[in-house]
Amino acid sequence: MKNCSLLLMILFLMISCAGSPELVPIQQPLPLNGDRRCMIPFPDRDWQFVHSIQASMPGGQEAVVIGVTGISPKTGGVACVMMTVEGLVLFDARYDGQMIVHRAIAPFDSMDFARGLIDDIKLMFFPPKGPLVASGTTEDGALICRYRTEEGTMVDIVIHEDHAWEIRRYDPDSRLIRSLMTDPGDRRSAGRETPLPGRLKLVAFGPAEYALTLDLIEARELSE
Amino acid sequence: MREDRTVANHVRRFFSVILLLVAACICIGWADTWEGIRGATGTIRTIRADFVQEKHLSILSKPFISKGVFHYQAPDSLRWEYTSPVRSILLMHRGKTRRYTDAGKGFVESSRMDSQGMQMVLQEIALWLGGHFSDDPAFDAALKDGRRIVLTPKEKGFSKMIQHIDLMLSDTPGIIKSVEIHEDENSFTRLLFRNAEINEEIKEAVFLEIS
Repeated sequence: MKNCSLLLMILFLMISCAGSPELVPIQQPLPLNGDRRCMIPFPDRDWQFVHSIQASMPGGQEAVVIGVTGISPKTGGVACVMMTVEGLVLFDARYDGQMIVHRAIAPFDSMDFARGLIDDIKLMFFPPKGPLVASGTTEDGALICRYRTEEGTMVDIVIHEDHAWEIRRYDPDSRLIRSLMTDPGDRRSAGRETPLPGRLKLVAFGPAEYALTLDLIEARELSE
Repeated sequence: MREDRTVANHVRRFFSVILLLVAACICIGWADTWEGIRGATGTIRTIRADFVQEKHLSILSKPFISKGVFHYQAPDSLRWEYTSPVRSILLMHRGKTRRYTDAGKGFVESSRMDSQGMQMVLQEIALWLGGHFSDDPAFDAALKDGRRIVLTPKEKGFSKMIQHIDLMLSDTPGIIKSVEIHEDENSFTRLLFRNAEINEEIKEAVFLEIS
């Protein structure tokens, strides 16, 4: 029975990995001078966001929570609180080079969860840490900038003509492990030159797949 | 699965605290002693009120505001509804509990609730609406000077989730100034109730249907 379970798990992992799309080919290469449009997704000042987050978990479970995120691009700092609609704080942590978890209620009390959450937030709001290795356009005419990160992963930033964007992270074997998409139909300027997306959709691929839909409730630029 | 239950337990207990405050908002302030409160609470059949929920977090530059309305009918029917910014409805009626949340695509029923646990919550509500705050198995209640009541969890495990609850009473009987649920040094929730209607008729459908 144990062997059977192990076999099923391996099979599941193989199917999960095999199903992940590979790197999107770049059709029309562009010079590696860092097109500024690829920085559109990333705020350059301190911001605080409140989102409602619909989480779709393995097994079809769904949950809605409120997420509060503070980002500081200059320092790379992130603060994050996740709470129920009733206001019960499930998770409260800060990352400033090292992780400090103020509060975590099971099952959100593992360091793996904390690291994963902060990594997802950094993917959403911070430019990739690493050199630009390719840029150009995709088959459908979108601008694409490809970065190789310090961890050996690849990150594509794709800017569509309507300024909707996608961020894709690939593992070292070029398998898609994260996909972030904006909803082009709903944006808020919040005093920003490039409007903030009203909706973000994050999908995590792999053995423990999940999807998060983040709807912006509040956005506040933090003064010095 | 065990972890799912843990979250459900915490949410349920947190909800039970809110329900306690619903009861408190109506019951407390009519007297300055537990005996007086008990005597004043026996006549409540229904309650309807609007509420504003302020979530204060050290990370937030200003509180996060939610609004809603609740309906209660003795002995065990409740509709607790958030109308903004995220729509969510909890229905409890005749021993059945359901919860719905609208995440932008219409209301969807949430995963199973712990029915046994909710039964416990309802028993606690009955206790509170009977004015038996000082007999509550979950909280130690203390009447303080300045029309303040402080509720402290009896269980150490529960106190990790909620440190204490402060009820500030108005000089006007039946009216409460504020309720604060203190989770830790970084977080508290303030609930304000408005437009309370007591013993008005409430249709059964309110506790059965989300529309």
